[in-house]
Amino acid sequence: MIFKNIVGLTIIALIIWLIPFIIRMSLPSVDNKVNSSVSEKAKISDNVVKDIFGAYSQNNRKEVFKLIFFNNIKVAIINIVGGIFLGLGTFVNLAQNGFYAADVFCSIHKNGMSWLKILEYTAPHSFEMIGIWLSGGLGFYIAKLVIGIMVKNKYPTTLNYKIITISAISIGLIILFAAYIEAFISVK
Amino acid sequence: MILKIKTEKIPKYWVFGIVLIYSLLMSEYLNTVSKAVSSINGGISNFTIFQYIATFNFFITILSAFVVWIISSFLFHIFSILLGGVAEFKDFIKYSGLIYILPAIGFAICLFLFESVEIPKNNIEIFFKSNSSLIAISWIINISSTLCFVLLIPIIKRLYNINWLKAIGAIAIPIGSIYLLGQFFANYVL
Repeated sequence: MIFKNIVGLTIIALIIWLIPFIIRMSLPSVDNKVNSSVSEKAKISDNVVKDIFGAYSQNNRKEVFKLIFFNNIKVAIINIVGGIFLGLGTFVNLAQNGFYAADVFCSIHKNGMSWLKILEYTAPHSFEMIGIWLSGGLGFYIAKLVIGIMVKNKYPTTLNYKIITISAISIGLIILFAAYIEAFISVK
Repeated sequence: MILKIKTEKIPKYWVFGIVLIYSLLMSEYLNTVSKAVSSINGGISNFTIFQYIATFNFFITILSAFVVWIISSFLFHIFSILLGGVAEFKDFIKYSGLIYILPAIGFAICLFLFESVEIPKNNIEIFFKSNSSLIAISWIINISSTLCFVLLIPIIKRLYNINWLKAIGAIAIPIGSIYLLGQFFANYVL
């Protein structure tokens, strides 16, 4: 019932994530190396994927869990804190995240894996994305509250703080479970 | 009181226009620098995805200038009130927007100066540290941005009717807090 307040905003977050994702997926033949030279963030995203694959190949599941969890929680924190900047930080982070997620898929596909296989590997344990979109929704909710203070002089109530706290805890738990499943259960 | 009468005379579109000019100049400057730097890597300016990202960044920079203006003004307003001042946010934001004319001029000069800079293919780091035009550009940006905050001190003092020390605090405390938060995020989160 608490989430009812941020469902609409989470759908907006999903759309913002999805648009650059679709744009990048519609250009699968584009050279990934050229992309990575475009920004530092793409390089970092590329390195994280490499680190995760490296830890997988050494069967170091704890390291895989740590890498996945901290990477996703960073994205969620930026989404939530981005709300303070009238939602612009959330918007940019969601759009970048969608773009680079598609970029990683395209890169794997270019290296010879079929789309079906990629989907088979990623889809079952991709529920961390719900946490990411929910964090986007929470970021926009915070932006809405900040705008309310500025324009209407309307300060947040106890219910608003309750929504923020419960949503943030839920997001953390979703990302934690997703990382656990991804590291210890899904990939064999 | 004098400032209050004057704020009512300042048209909103003037303030919006000045911030828009500032954001456009800053965006154009950053875009020019980005293009110049990427041209060293063999030139990827004709690349479709790069163009998408460059366009996206251009508009996001424009939006971010407005967000920074509104958020920073609001923070200064909150701290001025916390330090005992009384004034309306809609009055203060007009002044804080008008003084963006200084960094706007700064970025216009920087754009002009950057035209004459030719980035070499090798030893870029040394070049960035030693080129006189680039050193001048960084000084202009820093001074015009700092001056913007310094000019806000007397505005806050008179508009909110507080003393000099409190007016300085209303600017310094939020800037210091943001700096510390930024350092925390840069070192421990990002």
